[in-house]
Amino acid sequence: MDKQLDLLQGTLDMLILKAVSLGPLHGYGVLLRIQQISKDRLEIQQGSLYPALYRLEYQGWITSEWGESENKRKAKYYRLTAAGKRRFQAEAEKWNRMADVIAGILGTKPEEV
Amino acid sequence: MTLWARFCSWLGAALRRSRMESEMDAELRFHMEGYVEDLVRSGVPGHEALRRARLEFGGMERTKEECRETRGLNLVEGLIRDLRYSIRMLAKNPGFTAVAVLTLALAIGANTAIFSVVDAILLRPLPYPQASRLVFLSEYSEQVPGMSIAMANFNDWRSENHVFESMVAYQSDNVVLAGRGEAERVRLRRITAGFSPTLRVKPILGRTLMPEDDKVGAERVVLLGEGFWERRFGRDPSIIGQQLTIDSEPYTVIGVFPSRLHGSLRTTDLFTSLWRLENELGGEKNRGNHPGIYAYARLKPGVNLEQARGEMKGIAQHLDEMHPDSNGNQSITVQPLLEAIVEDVRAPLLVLIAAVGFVLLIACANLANLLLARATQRYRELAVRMALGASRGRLVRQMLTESVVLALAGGTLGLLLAVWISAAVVHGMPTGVPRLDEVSPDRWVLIFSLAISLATGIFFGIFPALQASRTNVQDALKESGRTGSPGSSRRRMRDALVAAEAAISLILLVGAGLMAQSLFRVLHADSGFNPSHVLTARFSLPDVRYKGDDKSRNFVEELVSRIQAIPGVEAAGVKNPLLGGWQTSYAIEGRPLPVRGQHATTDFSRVSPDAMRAMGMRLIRGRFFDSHDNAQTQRVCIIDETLVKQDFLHEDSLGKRIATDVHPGPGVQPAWMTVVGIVAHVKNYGVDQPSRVEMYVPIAQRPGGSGALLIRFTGDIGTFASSARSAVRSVDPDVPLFEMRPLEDIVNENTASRRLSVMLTSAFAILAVVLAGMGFYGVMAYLVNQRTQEIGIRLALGGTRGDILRLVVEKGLRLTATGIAIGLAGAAVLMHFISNLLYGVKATDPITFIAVTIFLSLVALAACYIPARRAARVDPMIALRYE
Repeated sequence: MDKQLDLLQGTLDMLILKAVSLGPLHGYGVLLRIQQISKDRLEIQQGSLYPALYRLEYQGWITSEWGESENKRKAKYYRLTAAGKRRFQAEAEKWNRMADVIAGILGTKPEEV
Repeated sequence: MTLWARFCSWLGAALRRSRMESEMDAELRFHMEGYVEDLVRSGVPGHEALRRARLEFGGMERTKEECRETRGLNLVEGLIRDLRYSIRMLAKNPGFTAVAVLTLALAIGANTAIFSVVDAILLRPLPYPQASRLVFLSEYSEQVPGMSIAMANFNDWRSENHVFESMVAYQSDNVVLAGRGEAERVRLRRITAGFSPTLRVKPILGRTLMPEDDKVGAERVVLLGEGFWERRFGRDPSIIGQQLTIDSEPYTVIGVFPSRLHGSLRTTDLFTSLWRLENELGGEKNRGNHPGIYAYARLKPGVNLEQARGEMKGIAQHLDEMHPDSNGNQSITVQPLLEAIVEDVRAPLLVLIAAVGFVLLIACANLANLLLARATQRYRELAVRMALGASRGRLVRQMLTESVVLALAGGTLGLLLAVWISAAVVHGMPTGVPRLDEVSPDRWVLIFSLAISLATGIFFGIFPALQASRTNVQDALKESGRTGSPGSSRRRMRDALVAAEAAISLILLVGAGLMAQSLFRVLHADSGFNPSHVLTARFSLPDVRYKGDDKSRNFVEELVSRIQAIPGVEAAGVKNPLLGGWQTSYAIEGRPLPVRGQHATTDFSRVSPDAMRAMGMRLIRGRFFDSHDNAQTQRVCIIDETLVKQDFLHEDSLGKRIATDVHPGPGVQPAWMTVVGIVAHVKNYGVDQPSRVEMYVPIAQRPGGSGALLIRFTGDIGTFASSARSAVRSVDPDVPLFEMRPLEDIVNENTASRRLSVMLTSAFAILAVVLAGMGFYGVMAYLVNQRTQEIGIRLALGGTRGDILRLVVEKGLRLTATGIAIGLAGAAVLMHFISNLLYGVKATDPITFIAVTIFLSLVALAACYIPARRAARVDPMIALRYE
């Protein structure tokens, strides 16, 4: 149970970075954007979103400022920083490499060994 | 960072924090409202949308807590919150808090007190710059380890070594200061010019000794000790250049040494040059003479102790080859100065440290047990807090804060106790324990008590905290009204703690038992003389006026006859030295002379005719000396039974002849002395100390310049002392009597350190047993409380009260039996380390082990019996309704 959480957490950070890289978003917007991109195939625990956002902000990969939402309400918007952009690229590359390796391993047939 | 700046940054963080808090609320509310609106828009009814939003979001408080934790500034805040919560929880349970704080105060107080003594005696450096570079030098031979140094040897060491930057030789003496008011006995230290450079001590007034002052025939000069300067001259600086009459010779005062010196140097009144005795002590012909001289030296920079030892060993070998007659197989001992000073007290102090350490362990076990029991009561509280979003780490931190708060409260109270305990310990310590006057709570004692409090708090708190944090939220909340049931691992830990307490207190009891038995045997051992109703006092004859044997012989005769005239005196005499003897080699007529450098040695003392009777020695055969043994008659001696056993196993010793000048020179006959009596062996240095074979000679045949009066009397000691004093003054007003005291006091001093360590270890052992008893009781009472319902069912189903009683007591005894078994094994191993401190009893003395086992079992039985009886009295109806 614990290990799955770790993996998810790392992934969540990356997804958040991707989501805000497409333009500034408030917390709820991040959730909606990820669901939209993933075509609702990913189940995200809503409560876990905010600690992740706070952590990423604390680490300096995103910044926040208060602005006005579509329905004229005060909302906190998150934006990717330059450091966050580099971080996201590195993470994404690492993820892709990992995915390739895993896929390669899983796709191995008996005669190839 | 200054305190103010730190406060400002904390305040800033706290302010930022409250803004962050409201922003976080706003953000989460925004999320919630947005989601609810979206749900409503997609057709979910309002109240259902709200419910679903809450459900899908998850624990709101938990989310907030996690958000807060991503910020570093949470630490201080959390700590303050934990502290506030802890204090509230502790205040809510005054009984628990009082027991815990008192237990800790006793344990931490005892530890701090012993540490403050150990700190002052063993750890604090000597009061000199770079004191760790100082070493103590003495000579070594197989017969006399730690022998004093021959002056000629010291001179050679100093000129031949390359490891010391400077050296000082010294000798202690008592001299008479006359001419200014009444004659006074003062403490003199003869030193060499190396004193100031070696110890790096400068005079606070005037100048120090220079190498020229050490030359034979130099002007007689003296330095004062600061204490003496104050006491006798009221810190008058004009004393420099004035004359003092010391042992009837005039000396010029050249300076004052500060009192910031170690040990007996601090209480020294006068310092003069050792080399004035060069003619008597130094020189080639006196290389075999070891007149109580020892030396300090300062290691050169970069030279370590091993190098110094190696070099001095080489020098000793060289001197042995050059002077085989006097040096023989002698060697040189090089010891760090501090180590040499505290050598004798180190072992007893370490035992005390171990004993108080054990007490602290037991206190920790008790507290851990209390906390475990409390954690069970707080089961639901913890579960609720977890459900509300507290992470496991937070819970552990909170509970640790509680135990540390407890420990710090106990530590504060303990520090106060420690001041009182250490004062009592210092008061009870025998005179002669080095550096005892330096015991005072300094910052290291404060740091120690703080550190030990923190460590204790964490140590006894960590396991219960970890245990408690393993609470399963679902189960705990599901359970009905009763407080949660303890897991089996919690019970196991409690059992282990009780067993550990039993084991540790058994070890302490065995240690205290063995030491108490040793003390009993020491107090009841035969010392070979009878010290009760004997008054002693010392005198020292000024060398100049009592030059020549006849003068001092007459003085002794006159003195003894006047003392004997005092009503109430049974026997009186003069002995030199008072207890113990001068070490001397000896030879027996008609036997081959011993190999050079390997002479047999004996303790040798001079006595006037009645001195041995006054001291209460027992004559085994032959006779004591009488007034006919004088300068004109045959030279005689008395030997003790151990010398007889050693040298006259197969022949009668009476009438044999012995000499102490083994190599009188070519063509000269040794001065033979005929053995006229054999006495019981006298344990001069205390019955538990090693002693040597003994020989006594009449003081009339070997007069000396000083001695001690021994007066066996009947009646009141106070009036008696003053008449003795005036009797001495009537013989010579310039010869003062000093250190007038009962012989019994001197003998008791030998056992004082033993009595104190027995008292302390016993006190610690009793404290340990009381704490362990409380521990047993607590666990058993808790157990009975937990099982009230079960007991009720048993009774309802026909179990007798006797069954219940047996059930509980059996459970308790099984626990302690395990502990006792472990403790016995541990004691058997650990007691081996204190075997050097024991006397007349083996470290594995079976009687002690058995007695202690029985005693501890009885304590355990009593501790179990009270809760067991309560269990047996349970009314099944009430117990079952209780649910």
